Amino acid sequence: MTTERPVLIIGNPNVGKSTLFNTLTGARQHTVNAPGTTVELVKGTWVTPHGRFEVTDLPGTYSLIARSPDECVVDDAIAGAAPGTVGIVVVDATSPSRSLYLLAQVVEEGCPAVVALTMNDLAEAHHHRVDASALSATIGVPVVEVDTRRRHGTDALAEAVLEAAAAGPALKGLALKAKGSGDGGESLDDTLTRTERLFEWVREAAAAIEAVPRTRRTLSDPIDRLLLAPWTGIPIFLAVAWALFEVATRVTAPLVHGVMAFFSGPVSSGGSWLLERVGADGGWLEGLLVDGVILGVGTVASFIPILALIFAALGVLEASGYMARVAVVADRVMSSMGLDGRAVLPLMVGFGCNVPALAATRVMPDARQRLLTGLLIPFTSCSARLTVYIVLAEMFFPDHAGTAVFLLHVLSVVLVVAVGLLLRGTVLRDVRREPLAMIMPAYQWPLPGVLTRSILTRVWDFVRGAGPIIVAALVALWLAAAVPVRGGHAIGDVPVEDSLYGAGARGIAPVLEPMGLGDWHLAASLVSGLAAKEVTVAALAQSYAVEAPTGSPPTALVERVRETVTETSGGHPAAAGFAFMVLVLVYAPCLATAAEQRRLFGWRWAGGALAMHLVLGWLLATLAFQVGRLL
Amino acid sequence: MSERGAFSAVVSEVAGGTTAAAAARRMGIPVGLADTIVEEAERLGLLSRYGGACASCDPSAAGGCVGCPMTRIRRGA
Repeated sequence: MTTERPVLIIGNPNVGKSTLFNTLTGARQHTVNAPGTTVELVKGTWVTPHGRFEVTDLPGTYSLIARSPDECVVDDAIAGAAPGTVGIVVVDATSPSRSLYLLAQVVEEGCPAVVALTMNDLAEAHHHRVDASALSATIGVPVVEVDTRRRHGTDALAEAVLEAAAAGPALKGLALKAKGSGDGGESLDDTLTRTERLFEWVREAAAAIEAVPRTRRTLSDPIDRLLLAPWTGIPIFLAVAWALFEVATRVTAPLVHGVMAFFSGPVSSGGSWLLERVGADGGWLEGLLVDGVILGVGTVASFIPILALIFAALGVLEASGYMARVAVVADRVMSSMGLDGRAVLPLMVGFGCNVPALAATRVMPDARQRLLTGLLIPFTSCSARLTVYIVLAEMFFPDHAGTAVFLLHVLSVVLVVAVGLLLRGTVLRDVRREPLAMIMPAYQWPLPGVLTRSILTRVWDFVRGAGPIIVAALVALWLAAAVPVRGGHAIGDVPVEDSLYGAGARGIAPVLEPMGLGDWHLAASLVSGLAAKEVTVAALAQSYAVEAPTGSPPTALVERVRETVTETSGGHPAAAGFAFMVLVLVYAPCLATAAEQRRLFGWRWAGGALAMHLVLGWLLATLAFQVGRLL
Repeated sequence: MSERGAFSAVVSEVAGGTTAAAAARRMGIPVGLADTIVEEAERLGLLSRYGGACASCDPSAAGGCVGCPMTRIRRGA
């Protein structure tokens, strides 16, 4: 039996590795699983005038510090290679310096290597032709130009593999570590020292063979100077955010009203008509269908225009690279206040949804940092709260709705910083500060197709995820409103004030009096909002709807809420309305967020956080009303 | 080139709020080399990459993510 020398094909993604493998092995291929994994590897036999080789096509990677199962397989294959194994490191001639670091890592692992230089025609077309002989002389390993389409260079590559096997692992100008010295227990300092040494070798090798093209200063330099300086970057971001909310409220308000009118008008009437046709109208079933199910579906549908516009705007800001700049500026501001820089990314996630933001704290290495950030996240104003703000702002500030929503987000940021400073100065004094070092993406135009898919996916996920929760909550609330607790009424035929729902809400309403909101409808909506913030508006609509005749126009809800708040606030509805919005921001995290906090930090911290929110929410909303009514 | 090695210098530039391409231009090294350094620094935990509002969200891991309007975008990414 002829022994086949093992050869590993190694390289960055998209440098022509698999094409080279196919050229070398032809049809003599088979697929195996990498040992102990589900990662598939393709192996094949390479028959040459210089002998037969058993070739393995490894997954593409930029480094032997693995980040995925595929990359682990590459590292394992090289570290555990049988004696005599040679690595063919595929190097893209259009950007050789990208591959030289991987080459250095492979050789330092003790694997003799040769370089297969691909994409030579492309490099030549860009006037960056790499001289294989010069590169080989510089780095001290055989370098072979390979043209896989014409099958040029494969015999020379086989000869080079034998030459490398005979020479052993070596690179000119790089002292290799002793085999195994860096395995297992290498400290971070040692790793950094080794990385620095390898990259220094790459820099010198690249300088010898790769001309650095003269690149002009781009427009992104002066733009970055503006966006990354706190004195200009923060005002610009505030202006962008204000414009976003102003446009969102102005553009979507008629659409929201239109959708609600459609559901409370034709759809509700249609439902009642259908029940009448089957002789089931006028009873509890009609109430459940119209005030529970149809109202719930209508509420979910009314959020769609708001969310689509907000997601579109956020998608553009993220895809363009602007949001990364915002994170850098936010980090600088937080660091200057003694808060942790690494908290910025989870906190920014919180403005989308608090629950994944809590999960995102796992990137922080220190448990106390994770705890501090996890306690601050519920103060970030999630997109669920945004839907509530927009409806409330339309009710109480029809001419300045965007500004009101914007101020709530500013308050959210102020609370994150203020509560962060408070916690760091009291119960979390031992938190160590870690700077955030962020990779700045280049500016780019958002791709319309990607953006459209992103918007549709996000909106659909809202409808599919939050929609059933809202509808189920409203049905549950309708049932609570159908159960009598006094007055001897029958189930389903009870005035709201005598129902379980009304009686419970009336018990809470006095707590809201100092903020001008001492009414059971408002109290009920806030309690319902604990399940999910989006439910707040729907519950408000429902608590009035169960008292109102079927088919009432949606504007009737706005008028009735304003009437109620005008009465409870003593003639200061705007101040009380703003206090209501502050309360929605602060008074408590939603159930899913609270549950995630409990899972991550335990009952004690989650309970303490809830108490902090209730107290702070009450204080701030009261302050907002008491100050607001003086203005 | 400064007295620091290429790796430290690029990481320092990027951590200071510049792009890899701008760092390469200032230091007179190929952009591909600067990109590779940034990639390796990210693997070593020295640099973070901004990934949008769902960067670190794992929808399959947390039950609470079901109600989040932004989860599945990551799964499709």
